[in-house]
Amino acid sequence: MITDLLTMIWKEWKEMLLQHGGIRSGILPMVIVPLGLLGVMLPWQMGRAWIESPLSLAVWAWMPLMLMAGLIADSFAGERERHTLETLLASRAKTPVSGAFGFRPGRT
Amino acid sequence: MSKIAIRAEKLTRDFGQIRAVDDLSLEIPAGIVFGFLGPNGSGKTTTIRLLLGLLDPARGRAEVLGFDTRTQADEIRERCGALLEHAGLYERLSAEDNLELYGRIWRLSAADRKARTKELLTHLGLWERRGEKVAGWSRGMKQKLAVARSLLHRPSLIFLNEPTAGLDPMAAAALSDDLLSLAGREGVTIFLTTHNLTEAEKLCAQVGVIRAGRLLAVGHPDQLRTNAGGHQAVILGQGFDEQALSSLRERPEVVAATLRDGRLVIDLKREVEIAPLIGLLVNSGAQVEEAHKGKASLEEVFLSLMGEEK
Repeated sequence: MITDLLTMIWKEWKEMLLQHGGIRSGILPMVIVPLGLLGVMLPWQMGRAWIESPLSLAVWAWMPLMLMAGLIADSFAGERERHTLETLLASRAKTPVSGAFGFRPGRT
Repeated sequence: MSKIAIRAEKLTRDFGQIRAVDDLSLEIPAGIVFGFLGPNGSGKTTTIRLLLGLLDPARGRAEVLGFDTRTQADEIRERCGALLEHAGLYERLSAEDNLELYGRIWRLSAADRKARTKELLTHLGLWERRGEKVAGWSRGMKQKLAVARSLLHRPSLIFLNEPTAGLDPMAAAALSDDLLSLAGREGVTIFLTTHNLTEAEKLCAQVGVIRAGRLLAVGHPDQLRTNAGGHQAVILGQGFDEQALSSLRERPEVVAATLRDGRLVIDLKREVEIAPLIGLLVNSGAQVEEAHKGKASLEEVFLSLMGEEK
């Protein structure tokens, strides 16, 4: 299960890397922009309130959840939409989501 | 390994009111190319899904490589390769990365993944383009890559669902040749569904014909042609008028006499001498230039089976 998870993470990482045209032109801006916004711009604008306000805590707490939700939705619905899910299910892999929940589409 | 690769007994599957597979019983020996022929919606894809354990049957049972599809589906999928309805390639990845991914899924070692990828891509003429994103490839190249992926882990059995669908005749013939050579070299059993009857005749040691979920016939293409009574005489010439055709049809050995594409095709009940038939035509004023005996093609057998079931 862990090996399958790592394999799918490898695949997602590769796809993300290639989709955005490599680390320098794609991934770095994807990381730098939110970091610049949340780590520099907003603290500069809000001053001490950025540290003391519970709002900032909520922002940091929600961000990983939102990123995760997007990734899960894409990796499951996206596999189905791109017609890669059935081939994956026909292999020896149990996809992380389907394996974790014991779900196999079409099986009744 | 079991000498029977696939054994299905009264396999049945419904989708609501529609019976997709109906009482299908079948035995496929290991090491052959089996062609599963049928029109669209006849139940070919559902049969593959049932045999891979992706769907459970409503009734009946099936064994693939000696494992029960209902209770040992994981064992079956570990030993099989599949090219399903869609090629199932990750188009944003390169060809090499697609095979790398499935190599990891099949738990091949890094060295084996590398060697096997090179071996298969070289054999299929894709090695030079291994670094390109699959999205930019032609359909034929994608199908070849999907075939390579299905063979990557050296499975004992592969399911190929219409591998040449949508390819131009040259690409389809090239892929068929590749399949035949790979199957021979790797010694795998191939379960092939196709609409291309010429391809089936060329590749398959056995074929099964399915319509509306029911298996109508199964056997070697030659055997099916013989069973269908497919003896024919084809005559080229001129002056085959209605009177000549009527006199032919009155003969006891003649099933039908029809003009097709300027040729006179005489369907015969059995293998007979055709000289008396030619004599009959000549006496009724026809000019015979060329005549030869033969069997009905697999396509004609297929069409006749489809016709009988309507």
